[in-house]
Amino acid sequence: MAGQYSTDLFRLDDRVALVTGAASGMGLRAAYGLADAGAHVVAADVNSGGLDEAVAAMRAEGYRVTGAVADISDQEQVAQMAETAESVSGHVDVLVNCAGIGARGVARDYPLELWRKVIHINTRGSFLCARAVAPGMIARRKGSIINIASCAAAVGWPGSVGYQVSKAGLGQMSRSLGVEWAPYNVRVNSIAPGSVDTPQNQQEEAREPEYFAERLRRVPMGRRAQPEEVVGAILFLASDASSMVTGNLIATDGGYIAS
Amino acid sequence: MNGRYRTLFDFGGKTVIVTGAASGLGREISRALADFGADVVIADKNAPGLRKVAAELEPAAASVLPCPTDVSVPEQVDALVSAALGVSGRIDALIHCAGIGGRSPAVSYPMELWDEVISVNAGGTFLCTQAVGRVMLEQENGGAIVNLSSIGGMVGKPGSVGYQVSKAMEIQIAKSLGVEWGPHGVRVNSIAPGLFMTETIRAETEKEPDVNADFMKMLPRGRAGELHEIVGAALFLASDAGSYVTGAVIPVDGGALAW
Repeated sequence: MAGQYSTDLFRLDDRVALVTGAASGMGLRAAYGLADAGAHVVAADVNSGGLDEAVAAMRAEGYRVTGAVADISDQEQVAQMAETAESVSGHVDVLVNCAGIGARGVARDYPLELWRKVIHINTRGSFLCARAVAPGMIARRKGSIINIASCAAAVGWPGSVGYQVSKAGLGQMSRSLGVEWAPYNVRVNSIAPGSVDTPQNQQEEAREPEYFAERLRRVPMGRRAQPEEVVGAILFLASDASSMVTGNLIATDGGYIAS
Repeated sequence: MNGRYRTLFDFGGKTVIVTGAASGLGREISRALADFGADVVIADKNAPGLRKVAAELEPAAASVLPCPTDVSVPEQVDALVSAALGVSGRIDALIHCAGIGGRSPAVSYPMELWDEVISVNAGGTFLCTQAVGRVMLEQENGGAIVNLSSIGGMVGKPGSVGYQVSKAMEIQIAKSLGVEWGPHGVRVNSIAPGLFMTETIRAETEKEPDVNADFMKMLPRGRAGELHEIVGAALFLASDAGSYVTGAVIPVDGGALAW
């Protein structure tokens, strides 16, 4: 049996991976990681300027990547995005639902528009994306959907109830879809990052340094994750290395949830 | 950026200890580590079985060192760690798979069985984790410890209370030490396998044909795991791909927990 395994276990050659929120932060790192593993990446984002830049940079480095401008909260745009991805080579093998927004605000005064917006984009938008690629995955009996949730899907923080509920919903969506689509070999899992050094988070931290310093103090590993450090979990879940893993949530949080 | 993710799962130049390596999941993980280029130190109580595995791994692994070890005996665990240190002067990862079953209805559960299963499974996990942890805490770049628990440590199944309690303890070891050693770069995580067709389970099923029938029905994927389906999670957690993951439990269960 020696020689049965190679680093190919984590390879994604000949596969098409659709990544939302791919213009920056974790989504962009995910796009690079999936491309390094051999996938043709379809990078989607609502920010068309940022997306053009990211796609051009990746192409300049020799990666196979296709851009797709899409607002995931708009069903028609999601359908078009899925069509673009399918048109690459007739199949979408991996979806990474990375697009999402933050939404801080104390619960007592949490604006209902913000509540609706964050759930609309983070949870409902990810559901639309999953549903857009699922029929093809189910038909081909092959697919992996990865939802970037948050530690806030498992624990509570003060000051962003809507965001946390949206991410808990995303975690449950992974469990429900994971079970429902398991017979078709379509796996659905989520990743729960803790504090990650992304441009989005840096902006939030600049506004509330004390709150984020306190959160960092509670991270056993004592540091924020680099966006790169979520890529390992994504490649594990995207590839055949995780063929028996579905409906789960993997925390990449420096030990936060465990503490 | 180009290519930075291609080495995420590399084990070249890394010394890894696998316990319970003479059979089942431990042997399978050892095969994978050998194929990924690690210096593999394999341990098991079953010395003849261990020699057979060592001979099998020789052609693929950078090096193989078989160390017959009873993981519930502190002196033997210390000897294992010393032997492993002889390979390269450091221990990069421990994948602790050694463990025993312990089936019996709770009303008549023999206390000798209770003591044995808790001593070998939870005690053995702690002894190995502690002994290797002492080395990792002192060495540059820390290290990664992965213990194989069971989803039986997270949910209840009839007929093996002692075993399940021991597995819950193993999960808590990962959480507690993941948090305690997080600041020092030593990651501790657990994999919770569901039903895998190991020799042990096969023997159990032959003795009690119905023992896993209900369990099988609960598996969204409708089948037990193949041995090779455990390795991805182990390699992920033991490698740099999991650099920000600690105190976590990853179920590899075909969705059984989410069901």
